[in-house]
Amino acid sequence: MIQHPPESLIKRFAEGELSESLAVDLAMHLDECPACATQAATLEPLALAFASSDDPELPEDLMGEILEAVSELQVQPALPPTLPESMPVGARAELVAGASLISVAATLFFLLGDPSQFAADIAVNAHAAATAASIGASSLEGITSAWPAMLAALAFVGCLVLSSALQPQSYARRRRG
Amino acid sequence: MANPSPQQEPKLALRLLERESYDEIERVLSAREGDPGARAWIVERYTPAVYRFCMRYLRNEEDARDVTQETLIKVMRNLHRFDENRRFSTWVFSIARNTAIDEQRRRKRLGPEPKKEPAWEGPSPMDETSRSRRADRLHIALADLPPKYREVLVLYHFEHLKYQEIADTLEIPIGTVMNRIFRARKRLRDAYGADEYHLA
Repeated sequence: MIQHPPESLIKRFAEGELSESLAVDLAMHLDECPACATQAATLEPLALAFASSDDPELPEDLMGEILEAVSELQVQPALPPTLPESMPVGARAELVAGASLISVAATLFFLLGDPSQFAADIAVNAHAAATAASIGASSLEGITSAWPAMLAALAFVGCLVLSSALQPQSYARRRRG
Repeated sequence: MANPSPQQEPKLALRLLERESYDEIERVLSAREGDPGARAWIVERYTPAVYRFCMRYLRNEEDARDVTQETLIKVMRNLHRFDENRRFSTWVFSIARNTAIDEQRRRKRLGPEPKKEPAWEGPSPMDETSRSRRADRLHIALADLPPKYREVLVLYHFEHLKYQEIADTLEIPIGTVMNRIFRARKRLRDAYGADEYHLA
C-alpha cells in the first residue's frame, strides 16, 4: 500500500524548507502520486498566480508553416541498434582488451601453423591434460606442444572479457557508479 | 461497473498517463517510418507547448516563432535518433531548450538589437481584475529571473513536467532541479511581494 506523506511535510516541501535529500525523495513520490502532487501544487504559495496566468497565443499561421516545412522533409531510416555513445570508459577498455586478445589469438593461429594440425593438437592436449589431472600428476607429461592450448585459452579469456563489456547489467552498474 | 474509490483514483490516473504515453510512442514510431498522419500529429501536439516554452524563455514573439519552427524541424529530422526508452516530451523540450539557448547566444553575438516586437508580458493591462494583476506581476517577476531558474519554473508550472522529466530534459540531477525550483520560487516570492501571493 502506498504511504502518503503528511500534509505538513508536503507544505514544507512546497515552501522549499526541506533538506535536498528529503526534497528529492518527496519529489520522486509526487512524480508518481497525482493526489499528493495536486496537494503540493495547491500548497505552493504562488499557486494562485501560476493558475491565473494565461498562455501566450499561438500565431495563427505558425502551425501551417511548420506542417508545410515538415511535409517537405525526407524521412530518415531508423538507426540500427548500436552501442550507446556514452559507453563508460571501463566498458570501452574491456571491449578493446577482449577484441585485442581474440585478434592476437586468431593471428597467431594462422601464422604459427596448420589449422587442421592445430585442432588435432588441442584435442590431444585436452585429453592429456584431463588424464594428468585425473591421476593427480604433478607435471603434464604428454602434452606435445603448449602453444595451441595457450592460444585457445587466450581466445577464451578474450571472449569472457568481451561478453563482460557488452553485458547490459554490468554496463548499467558502471554507469550508476 | 462501480466507480473507483478515492484511493483508486491516483492509480487510475497513472494508468491513463501510461496509456497516453503508449499511444504517443506508437505515433512516434509510425512517424519515424514516414507516416504523414503521425508526423502531423506530433507537430499539432507539440507546436503549442514548444511555442509557450519559447515565449516564456525568450520573451520575444519573433524569436519564439523561429525557435519553435526550428525545434519541430529538428525533431522530425532526428526522429530516427530518438531513444524509445526516453520520454518523447522530454526529448522535444530538450531540443527546444538547446535551440533557444543557441538563439540567445546568436542574439548576444549580434549585440543589442533595435526593439522590433514588444515582449509578451502576459494578459492585457486593460483587464484590471485582480486575476490579471496577479498574472502580470508574475510574468514581470518571471522575466527578471536568470534563465536557469526561469526554465525550471516554466517546465514545472506551465508545461507540467514531472521533476524527473525536468531533470532528463535539462540533463541535470534531480537534486539540482529541486534546488533551482526552490531558489527560483523564493526569488519570485521576494519579487512578487509577501503581501500579494496570499491573495485569494
